[in-house]
Amino acid sequence: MSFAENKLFTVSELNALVRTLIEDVYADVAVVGEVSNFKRHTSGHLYFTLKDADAQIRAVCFRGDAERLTVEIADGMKLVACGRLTLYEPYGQYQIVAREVHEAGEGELERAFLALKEKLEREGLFDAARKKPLPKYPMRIAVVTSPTGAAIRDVLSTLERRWPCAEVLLFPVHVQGREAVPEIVRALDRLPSVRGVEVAILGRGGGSLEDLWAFNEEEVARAIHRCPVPVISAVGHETDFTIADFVADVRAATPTMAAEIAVPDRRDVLDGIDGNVRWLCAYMDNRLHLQATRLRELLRSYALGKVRGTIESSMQTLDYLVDRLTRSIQNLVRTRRVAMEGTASKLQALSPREILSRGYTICTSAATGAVLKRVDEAVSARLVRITFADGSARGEVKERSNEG
Amino acid sequence: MKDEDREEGLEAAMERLERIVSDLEKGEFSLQEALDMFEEGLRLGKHCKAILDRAEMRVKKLVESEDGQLREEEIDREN
Repeated sequence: MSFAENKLFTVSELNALVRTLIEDVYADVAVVGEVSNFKRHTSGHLYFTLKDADAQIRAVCFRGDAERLTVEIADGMKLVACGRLTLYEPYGQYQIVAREVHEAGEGELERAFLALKEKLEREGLFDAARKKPLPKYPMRIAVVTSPTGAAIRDVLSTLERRWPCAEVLLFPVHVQGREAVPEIVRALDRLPSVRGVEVAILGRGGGSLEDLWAFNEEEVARAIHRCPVPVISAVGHETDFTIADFVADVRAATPTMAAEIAVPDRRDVLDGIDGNVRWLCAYMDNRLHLQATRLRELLRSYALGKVRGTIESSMQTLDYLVDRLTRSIQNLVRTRRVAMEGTASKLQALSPREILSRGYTICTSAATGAVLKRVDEAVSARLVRITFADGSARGEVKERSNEG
Repeated sequence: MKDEDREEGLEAAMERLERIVSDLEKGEFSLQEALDMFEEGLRLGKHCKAILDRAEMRVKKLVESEDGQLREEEIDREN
Protein backbone atom coordinates (compact mmCIF):
# COMPACT_ATOMS: atom_id res chain seq x y z
CA MET A 1 0.00 0.00 0.00
CA SER A 2 1.60 3.24 -1.01
CA PHE A 3 1.04 6.54 0.65
CA ALA A 4 -0.10 7.95 -2.66
CA GLU A 5 -3.21 5.82 -2.51
CA ASN A 6 -3.98 6.77 1.02
CA LYS A 7 -3.26 10.40 1.42
CA LEU A 8 -1.87 13.24 -0.55
CA PHE A 9 0.73 15.15 1.46
CA THR A 10 1.86 18.65 1.01
CA VAL A 11 5.57 19.12 1.15
CA SER A 12 5.35 20.75 4.56
CA GLU A 13 3.28 17.92 5.93
CA LEU A 14 5.70 15.34 4.61
CA ASN A 15 8.76 17.10 5.92
CA ALA A 16 7.16 17.50 9.30
CA LEU A 17 6.30 13.81 9.35
CA VAL A 18 9.79 12.75 8.41
CA ARG A 19 11.30 15.11 10.91
CA THR A 20 9.35 13.48 13.71
CA LEU A 21 10.36 10.09 12.44
CA ILE A 22 14.05 10.97 12.37
CA GLU A 23 14.02 12.71 15.73
CA ASP A 24 12.31 9.80 17.41
CA VAL A 25 14.74 7.21 16.15
CA TYR A 26 17.98 9.14 16.31
CA ALA A 27 17.62 11.23 19.41
CA ASP A 28 21.16 10.44 20.48
CA VAL A 29 23.79 9.62 17.94
CA ALA A 30 27.53 9.97 17.44
CA VAL A 31 29.07 10.26 14.03
CA VAL A 32 32.68 10.56 12.89
CA GLY A 33 33.79 12.31 9.74
CA GLU A 34 35.97 14.92 8.16
CA VAL A 35 34.94 18.56 8.46
CA SER A 36 34.38 20.66 5.39
CA ASN A 37 32.54 23.89 4.54
CA PHE A 38 32.90 25.10 8.10
CA LYS A 39 31.24 28.45 8.77
CA ARG A 40 30.75 30.40 11.96
CA HIS A 41 27.59 32.44 11.53
CA THR A 42 27.29 35.88 13.07
CA SER A 43 24.54 34.46 15.23
CA GLY A 44 27.10 32.31 16.89
CA HIS A 45 25.79 29.08 15.39
CA LEU A 46 28.27 26.81 13.66
CA TYR A 47 27.52 25.14 10.35
CA PHE A 48 29.63 22.50 8.72
CA THR A 49 29.61 19.26 6.77
CA LEU A 50 30.93 15.93 7.95
CA LYS A 51 32.03 13.52 5.29
CA ASP A 52 33.78 10.23 4.63
CA ALA A 53 34.88 8.60 1.39
CA ASP A 54 31.39 7.87 0.18
CA ALA A 55 28.92 10.27 1.78
CA GLN A 56 28.35 13.46 3.71
CA ILE A 57 25.93 14.95 6.21
CA ARG A 58 25.09 18.51 7.22
CA ALA A 59 25.80 19.53 10.79
CA VAL A 60 24.94 22.47 13.00
CA CYS A 61 26.03 23.40 16.46
CA PHE A 62 23.88 26.05 18.07
CA ARG A 63 25.40 28.96 19.92
CA GLY A 64 24.75 27.74 23.44
CA ASP A 65 26.57 24.46 22.81
CA ALA A 66 29.10 26.07 20.50
CA GLU A 67 30.29 28.37 23.27
CA ARG A 68 30.99 25.40 25.52
CA LEU A 69 33.09 23.57 22.93
CA THR A 70 36.67 22.92 23.81
CA VAL A 71 37.61 22.21 20.23
CA GLU A 72 38.28 24.72 17.50
CA ILE A 73 36.51 23.24 14.49
CA ALA A 74 38.29 23.62 11.18
CA ASP A 75 38.06 22.22 7.70
CA GLY A 76 39.93 18.96 7.16
CA MET A 77 39.74 18.02 10.80
CA LYS A 78 38.55 14.58 11.80
CA LEU A 79 35.69 15.06 14.21
CA VAL A 80 33.25 13.14 16.30
CA ALA A 81 29.94 14.94 16.64
CA CYS A 82 27.46 13.86 19.31
CA GLY A 83 23.90 15.03 19.29
CA ARG A 84 20.54 14.44 17.73
CA LEU A 85 19.38 14.06 14.16
CA THR A 86 16.68 16.25 12.77
CA LEU A 87 15.26 17.46 9.50
CA TYR A 88 15.46 21.09 8.63
CA GLU A 89 11.94 21.34 7.29
CA PRO A 90 12.23 24.35 5.00
CA TYR A 91 14.94 22.59 2.95
CA GLY A 92 13.92 19.02 3.54
CA GLN A 93 17.49 18.42 4.58
CA TYR A 94 18.37 16.14 7.40
CA GLN A 95 21.23 17.11 9.66
CA ILE A 96 22.86 16.47 12.93
CA VAL A 97 22.47 18.96 15.69
CA ALA A 98 25.69 18.57 17.58
CA ARG A 99 25.69 19.43 21.23
CA GLU A 100 29.24 18.25 21.72
CA VAL A 101 32.21 17.54 19.51
CA HIS A 102 35.69 16.22 19.97
CA GLU A 103 38.58 15.40 17.78
CA ALA A 104 38.71 11.92 16.39
CA GLY A 105 42.14 10.49 16.36
CA GLU A 106 42.91 6.87 16.23
CA GLY A 107 41.35 7.01 19.68
CA GLU A 108 37.78 6.98 18.36
CA LEU A 109 38.16 4.02 16.13
CA GLU A 110 40.11 2.19 18.76
CA ARG A 111 37.44 2.81 21.31
CA ALA A 112 34.83 1.41 18.93
CA PHE A 113 37.10 -1.52 18.23
CA LEU A 114 37.59 -2.34 21.90
CA ALA A 115 33.91 -2.01 22.67
CA LEU A 116 32.91 -4.42 19.92
CA LYS A 117 35.73 -6.78 20.79
CA GLU A 118 34.57 -6.95 24.37
CA LYS A 119 30.97 -7.48 23.36
CA LEU A 120 31.70 -10.31 20.96
CA GLU A 121 34.13 -11.90 23.36
CA ARG A 122 31.46 -11.96 26.03
CA GLU A 123 29.13 -13.63 23.56
CA GLY A 124 31.71 -16.32 22.99
CA LEU A 125 32.51 -15.63 19.36
CA PHE A 126 36.23 -15.84 20.03
CA ASP A 127 36.15 -19.05 22.07
CA ALA A 128 38.99 -21.39 21.21
CA ALA A 129 36.72 -24.38 21.71
CA ARG A 130 34.52 -23.47 18.80
CA LYS A 131 37.33 -22.92 16.33
CA LYS A 132 37.16 -25.47 13.56
CA PRO A 133 40.17 -27.60 12.67
CA LEU A 134 41.67 -27.14 9.23
CA PRO A 135 41.60 -29.99 6.71
CA LYS A 136 44.94 -31.70 6.26
CA TYR A 137 45.03 -31.93 2.49
CA PRO A 138 42.49 -29.46 1.09
CA MET A 139 41.74 -29.81 -2.60
CA ARG A 140 39.36 -26.89 -3.00
CA ILE A 141 40.33 -23.65 -1.37
CA ALA A 142 38.23 -20.48 -1.39
CA VAL A 143 39.87 -17.07 -1.25
CA VAL A 144 37.70 -14.07 -0.36
CA THR A 145 39.60 -10.93 -1.22
CA SER A 146 40.03 -8.20 -3.75
CA PRO A 147 40.73 -9.57 -7.24
CA THR A 148 43.47 -6.98 -7.65
CA GLY A 149 46.23 -6.16 -5.27
CA ALA A 150 49.04 -7.89 -3.51
CA ALA A 151 46.99 -10.16 -1.27
CA ILE A 152 45.54 -12.42 -3.98
CA ARG A 153 48.85 -12.51 -5.82
CA ASP A 154 50.70 -13.59 -2.70
CA VAL A 155 48.13 -16.23 -1.85
CA LEU A 156 48.09 -17.69 -5.35
CA SER A 157 51.84 -17.80 -5.75
CA THR A 158 52.28 -19.42 -2.33
CA LEU A 159 49.58 -22.01 -3.01
CA GLU A 160 51.07 -22.82 -6.38
CA ARG A 161 54.50 -23.28 -4.94
CA ARG A 162 53.40 -25.56 -2.13
CA TRP A 163 50.25 -27.33 -3.24
CA PRO A 164 49.54 -27.04 -6.97
CA CYS A 165 47.32 -30.11 -6.93
CA ALA A 166 44.51 -28.05 -5.41
CA GLU A 167 41.86 -25.90 -7.01
CA VAL A 168 41.48 -22.29 -5.91
CA LEU A 169 38.13 -20.50 -5.99
CA LEU A 170 38.36 -16.75 -5.86
CA PHE A 171 35.42 -14.84 -4.42
CA PRO A 172 36.12 -11.26 -5.53
CA VAL A 173 34.99 -8.58 -3.05
CA HIS A 174 35.71 -4.99 -2.15
CA VAL A 175 37.90 -4.95 0.91
CA GLN A 176 37.27 -1.31 1.86
CA GLY A 177 34.66 1.31 1.22
CA ARG A 178 30.94 1.05 1.44
CA GLU A 179 30.58 -2.14 -0.59
CA ALA A 180 33.08 -4.10 1.47
CA VAL A 181 30.96 -5.24 4.39
CA PRO A 182 27.92 -6.45 2.44
CA GLU A 183 30.08 -8.15 -0.18
CA ILE A 184 32.26 -9.92 2.36
CA VAL A 185 29.22 -11.04 4.34
CA ARG A 186 27.54 -12.33 1.21
CA ALA A 187 30.65 -14.22 0.11
CA LEU A 188 30.96 -15.91 3.50
CA ASP A 189 27.29 -16.81 3.52
CA ARG A 190 27.49 -18.27 0.01
CA LEU A 191 30.62 -20.33 0.66
CA PRO A 192 28.92 -23.43 2.03
CA SER A 193 26.88 -23.74 -1.16
CA VAL A 194 30.03 -24.07 -3.25
CA ARG A 195 30.65 -27.76 -3.83
CA GLY A 196 33.54 -29.23 -1.92
CA VAL A 197 35.10 -26.09 -0.46
CA GLU A 198 37.19 -27.24 2.46
CA VAL A 199 38.84 -24.09 3.74
CA ALA A 200 38.62 -20.35 3.09
CA ILE A 201 41.16 -17.56 3.29
CA LEU A 202 39.68 -14.13 4.02
CA GLY A 203 41.98 -11.18 3.78
CA ARG A 204 43.50 -8.11 2.30
CA GLY A 205 46.80 -6.31 2.13
CA GLY A 206 48.04 -3.64 4.51
CA GLY A 207 46.45 -0.24 5.06
CA SER A 208 45.39 2.30 7.63
CA LEU A 209 42.94 1.50 10.39
CA GLU A 210 40.18 3.03 8.29
CA ASP A 211 41.19 0.94 5.30
CA LEU A 212 40.95 -2.24 7.34
CA TRP A 213 37.78 -1.15 9.09
CA ALA A 214 35.43 -3.48 7.24
CA PHE A 215 37.15 -6.35 9.05
CA ASN A 216 36.25 -4.75 12.39
CA GLU A 217 32.58 -4.60 11.61
CA GLU A 218 30.15 -6.67 13.60
CA GLU A 219 28.37 -8.06 10.54
CA VAL A 220 31.58 -9.45 9.12
CA ALA A 221 32.46 -10.98 12.48
CA ARG A 222 29.09 -12.70 12.70
CA ALA A 223 29.31 -13.92 9.11
CA ILE A 224 32.69 -15.53 9.88
CA HIS A 225 31.24 -17.01 13.04
CA ARG A 226 28.31 -18.70 11.31
CA CYS A 227 30.29 -19.90 8.31
CA PRO A 228 30.61 -23.71 8.51
CA VAL A 229 33.75 -23.69 6.37
CA PRO A 230 36.97 -23.10 8.38
CA VAL A 231 38.15 -19.52 7.84
CA ILE A 232 41.74 -18.30 7.95
CA SER A 233 41.94 -14.55 8.32
CA ALA A 234 44.80 -12.55 6.86
CA VAL A 235 44.19 -8.86 7.22
CA GLY A 236 46.83 -6.24 6.80
CA HIS A 237 50.32 -6.46 8.16
CA GLU A 238 51.78 -8.60 10.89
CA THR A 239 50.86 -6.24 13.70
CA ASP A 240 47.32 -5.51 12.57
CA PHE A 241 44.67 -7.30 14.56
CA THR A 242 41.10 -6.94 13.46
CA ILE A 243 37.93 -8.39 14.96
CA ALA A 244 37.85 -10.77 12.01
CA ASP A 245 41.19 -12.15 13.18
CA PHE A 246 39.71 -12.98 16.59
CA VAL A 247 36.62 -14.69 15.23
CA ALA A 248 38.35 -16.62 12.48
CA ASP A 249 39.35 -20.22 13.06
CA VAL A 250 42.97 -19.33 12.45
CA ARG A 251 44.66 -15.96 12.17
CA ALA A 252 47.53 -15.48 9.77
CA ALA A 253 49.81 -12.45 9.99
CA THR A 254 49.90 -12.03 6.21
CA PRO A 255 48.17 -13.47 3.14
CA THR A 256 51.30 -15.47 2.31
CA MET A 257 51.27 -17.06 5.73
CA ALA A 258 47.57 -17.80 5.38
CA ALA A 259 48.34 -19.87 2.30
CA GLU A 260 51.19 -21.60 4.15
CA ILE A 261 48.82 -22.48 6.96
CA ALA A 262 46.06 -23.63 4.63
CA VAL A 263 48.05 -26.24 2.75
CA PRO A 264 51.00 -28.51 3.48
CA ASP A 265 54.11 -28.56 1.35
CA ARG A 266 53.70 -31.18 -1.31
CA ARG A 267 57.35 -32.19 -1.07
CA ASP A 268 57.00 -33.04 2.60
CA VAL A 269 53.97 -35.18 1.94
CA LEU A 270 55.69 -36.99 -0.92
CA ASP A 271 58.70 -37.61 1.30
CA GLY A 272 56.40 -39.08 3.89
CA ILE A 273 54.86 -41.44 1.37
CA ASP A 274 58.28 -42.50 0.09
CA GLY A 275 59.39 -43.12 3.64
CA ASN A 276 56.42 -45.35 4.32
CA VAL A 277 56.88 -47.30 1.10
CA ARG A 278 60.58 -47.78 1.79
CA TRP A 279 59.73 -49.01 5.27
CA LEU A 280 57.26 -51.51 3.86
CA CYS A 281 59.80 -52.92 1.42
CA ALA A 282 62.45 -53.20 4.10
CA TYR A 283 59.95 -54.93 6.36
CA MET A 284 59.00 -57.42 3.68
CA ASP A 285 62.64 -58.14 2.86
CA ASN A 286 63.29 -58.80 6.49
CA ARG A 287 60.36 -61.11 6.93
CA LEU A 288 61.19 -63.16 3.89
CA HIS A 289 64.75 -63.49 5.08
CA LEU A 290 63.53 -64.70 8.43
CA GLN A 291 61.23 -67.14 6.76
CA ALA A 292 63.99 -68.46 4.55
CA THR A 293 66.25 -68.90 7.57
CA ARG A 294 63.55 -70.74 9.45
CA LEU A 295 62.97 -72.97 6.50
CA ARG A 296 66.64 -73.81 6.21
CA GLU A 297 66.77 -74.71 9.87
CA LEU A 298 63.72 -76.86 9.51
CA LEU A 299 65.25 -78.66 6.60
CA ARG A 300 68.43 -79.19 8.55
CA SER A 301 66.49 -80.63 11.47
CA TYR A 302 64.65 -82.88 9.11
CA ALA A 303 67.89 -84.08 7.59
CA LEU A 304 69.27 -84.84 11.03
CA GLY A 305 66.21 -86.88 11.88
CA LYS A 306 65.17 -84.40 14.56
CA VAL A 307 61.77 -83.79 13.13
CA ARG A 308 59.06 -85.46 15.14
CA GLY A 309 55.91 -87.08 13.91
CA THR A 310 55.54 -89.17 10.83
CA ILE A 311 57.66 -88.53 7.82
CA GLU A 312 54.58 -87.65 5.83
CA SER A 313 53.39 -84.91 8.14
CA SER A 314 56.84 -83.42 8.45
CA MET A 315 57.19 -83.40 4.73
CA GLN A 316 53.79 -81.91 4.44
CA THR A 317 54.73 -79.11 6.79
CA LEU A 318 57.91 -78.44 4.90
CA ASP A 319 56.20 -78.54 1.56
CA TYR A 320 53.53 -76.23 2.75
CA LEU A 321 56.10 -73.81 4.08
CA VAL A 322 58.08 -73.85 0.91
CA ASP A 323 54.94 -73.39 -1.16
CA ARG A 324 53.85 -70.42 0.84
CA LEU A 325 57.25 -68.88 0.77
CA THR A 326 57.55 -69.39 -2.94
CA ARG A 327 54.14 -67.90 -3.53
CA SER A 328 55.02 -64.95 -1.35
CA ILE A 329 58.17 -64.36 -3.27
CA GLN A 330 56.31 -64.65 -6.52
CA ASN A 331 53.84 -62.07 -5.29
CA LEU A 332 56.73 -59.87 -4.31
CA VAL A 333 58.27 -60.32 -7.71
CA ARG A 334 55.03 -59.26 -9.35
CA THR A 335 54.70 -56.23 -7.12
CA ARG A 336 58.26 -55.08 -6.95
CA ARG A 337 59.62 -56.35 -10.17
CA VAL A 338 62.59 -57.51 -8.23
CA ALA A 339 64.69 -60.35 -9.59
CA MET A 340 63.97 -62.77 -6.79
CA GLU A 341 63.11 -65.56 -9.15
CA GLY A 342 66.48 -67.16 -8.50
CA THR A 343 65.63 -67.45 -4.82
CA ALA A 344 62.23 -68.88 -5.64
CA SER A 345 63.62 -71.64 -7.79
CA LYS A 346 66.35 -72.45 -5.29
CA LEU A 347 63.77 -72.92 -2.58
CA GLN A 348 61.77 -75.05 -4.91
CA ALA A 349 64.76 -77.33 -5.39
CA LEU A 350 65.03 -77.87 -1.63
CA SER A 351 61.46 -79.02 -1.38
CA PRO A 352 61.29 -82.66 -0.30
CA ARG A 353 58.69 -83.33 -2.95
CA GLU A 354 61.06 -81.99 -5.57
CA ILE A 355 63.83 -84.23 -4.32
CA LEU A 356 61.58 -87.24 -4.28
CA SER A 357 60.23 -86.52 -7.72
CA ARG A 358 63.74 -86.76 -9.03
CA GLY A 359 63.78 -90.38 -8.05
CA TYR A 360 65.09 -90.30 -4.53
CA THR A 361 63.25 -92.17 -1.81
CA ILE A 362 63.24 -92.02 1.93
CA CYS A 363 63.63 -95.18 3.91
CA THR A 364 62.28 -95.36 7.44
CA SER A 365 61.94 -98.06 10.04
CA ALA A 366 58.43 -99.46 10.00
CA ALA A 367 58.56 -99.91 13.75
CA THR A 368 60.03 -96.63 14.98
CA GLY A 369 59.61 -94.32 12.01
CA ALA A 370 63.26 -93.33 12.28
CA VAL A 371 64.95 -92.37 9.07
CA LEU A 372 67.42 -95.00 7.96
CA LYS A 373 70.57 -93.55 6.55
CA ARG A 374 72.93 -96.46 6.80
CA VAL A 375 72.75 -99.95 5.45
CA ASP A 376 73.29 -101.43 8.91
CA GLU A 377 70.32 -99.50 10.28
CA ALA A 378 68.16 -100.82 7.47
CA VAL A 379 69.27 -104.39 7.99
CA SER A 380 68.54 -104.30 11.71
CA ALA A 381 65.20 -102.64 11.19
CA ARG A 382 64.29 -105.31 8.68
CA LEU A 383 60.78 -104.02 8.13
CA VAL A 384 60.95 -100.68 6.43
CA ARG A 385 58.74 -98.12 4.85
CA ILE A 386 59.84 -96.61 1.56
CA THR A 387 58.44 -93.17 0.75
CA PHE A 388 58.21 -92.08 -2.86
CA ALA A 389 57.02 -88.82 -4.33
CA ASP A 390 53.53 -90.14 -4.71
CA GLY A 391 53.17 -92.42 -1.71
CA SER A 392 54.89 -95.15 0.22
CA ALA A 393 55.36 -98.90 0.20
CA ARG A 394 56.29 -101.44 2.82
CA GLY A 395 59.33 -103.54 2.36
CA GLU A 396 61.43 -106.15 4.00
CA VAL A 397 65.15 -105.91 3.96
CA LYS A 398 66.40 -109.38 2.98
CA GLU A 399 70.06 -109.02 2.92
CA ARG A 400 72.89 -106.68 2.54
CA SER A 401 73.98 -106.00 -0.97
CA ASN A 402 77.62 -105.94 -1.66
CA GLU A 403 77.53 -103.03 -4.03
CA GLY A 404 78.62 -99.56 -2.96
CA MET B 1 38.41 -39.18 -11.11
CA LYS B 2 35.88 -36.74 -9.63
CA ASP B 3 37.22 -34.05 -7.39
CA GLU B 4 35.37 -35.36 -4.37
CA ASP B 5 36.77 -38.85 -4.86
CA ARG B 6 40.16 -37.32 -5.19
CA GLU B 7 39.91 -35.29 -2.05
CA GLU B 8 38.46 -37.99 0.13
CA GLY B 9 40.93 -40.33 -1.44
CA LEU B 10 44.00 -38.42 -0.37
CA GLU B 11 43.36 -37.91 3.32
CA ALA B 12 41.85 -41.37 3.80
CA ALA B 13 44.53 -43.05 1.69
CA MET B 14 47.34 -41.33 3.61
CA GLU B 15 45.80 -42.44 6.88
CA ARG B 16 45.43 -46.03 5.71
CA LEU B 17 49.01 -46.15 4.51
CA GLU B 18 50.27 -44.87 7.85
CA ARG B 19 48.07 -47.33 9.71
CA ILE B 20 49.40 -50.26 7.68
CA VAL B 21 52.94 -49.29 8.62
CA SER B 22 52.14 -48.88 12.30
CA ASP B 23 50.13 -52.12 12.39
CA LEU B 24 52.95 -54.11 10.81
CA GLU B 25 55.41 -52.47 13.15
CA LYS B 26 53.53 -53.47 16.24
CA GLY B 27 51.49 -56.50 15.35
CA GLU B 28 51.96 -60.15 14.66
CA PHE B 29 50.77 -60.98 11.22
CA SER B 30 51.15 -64.15 9.24
CA LEU B 31 53.29 -63.98 6.14
CA GLN B 32 50.25 -63.98 3.90
CA GLU B 33 48.51 -61.23 5.87
CA ALA B 34 51.68 -59.18 5.91
CA LEU B 35 52.04 -59.60 2.19
CA ASP B 36 48.46 -58.48 1.60
CA MET B 37 49.02 -55.40 3.72
CA PHE B 38 52.31 -54.72 1.97
CA GLU B 39 50.67 -54.81 -1.43
CA GLU B 40 47.84 -52.56 -0.25
CA GLY B 41 50.40 -50.14 1.15
CA LEU B 42 52.24 -49.92 -2.15
CA ARG B 43 48.99 -49.35 -4.00
CA LEU B 44 47.99 -46.56 -1.61
CA GLY B 45 51.36 -44.91 -1.98
CA LYS B 46 51.04 -44.95 -5.72
CA HIS B 47 47.50 -43.54 -5.56
CA CYS B 48 48.53 -40.66 -3.28
CA LYS B 49 51.50 -39.77 -5.42
CA ALA B 50 49.28 -39.68 -8.51
CA ILE B 51 47.04 -37.13 -6.83
CA LEU B 52 49.93 -35.01 -5.61
CA ASP B 53 51.74 -35.06 -8.91
CA ARG B 54 49.30 -32.72 -10.56
CA ALA B 55 51.47 -29.70 -11.21
CA GLU B 56 49.07 -27.20 -12.73
CA MET B 57 47.00 -25.34 -10.15
CA ARG B 58 43.54 -24.40 -11.32
CA VAL B 59 42.14 -21.02 -10.33
CA LYS B 60 38.50 -20.19 -10.81
CA LYS B 61 36.44 -17.10 -10.11
CA LEU B 62 33.09 -17.40 -8.38
CA VAL B 63 30.54 -15.31 -10.18
CA GLU B 64 27.00 -14.76 -9.04
CA SER B 65 24.44 -14.63 -11.81
CA GLU B 66 21.22 -12.68 -11.64
CA ASP B 67 19.19 -15.58 -10.38
CA GLY B 68 21.53 -15.94 -7.44
CA GLN B 69 23.31 -19.02 -8.78
CA LEU B 70 27.02 -19.26 -8.26
CA ARG B 71 29.07 -20.15 -11.27
CA GLU B 72 32.70 -21.08 -11.47
CA GLU B 73 34.63 -19.37 -14.23
CA GLU B 74 38.07 -20.37 -15.28
CA ILE B 75 40.37 -17.41 -15.15
CA ASP B 76 43.45 -16.62 -17.08
CA ARG B 77 46.35 -16.49 -14.66
CA GLU B 78 47.68 -13.33 -16.20
CA ASN B 79 45.46 -11.65 -13.63
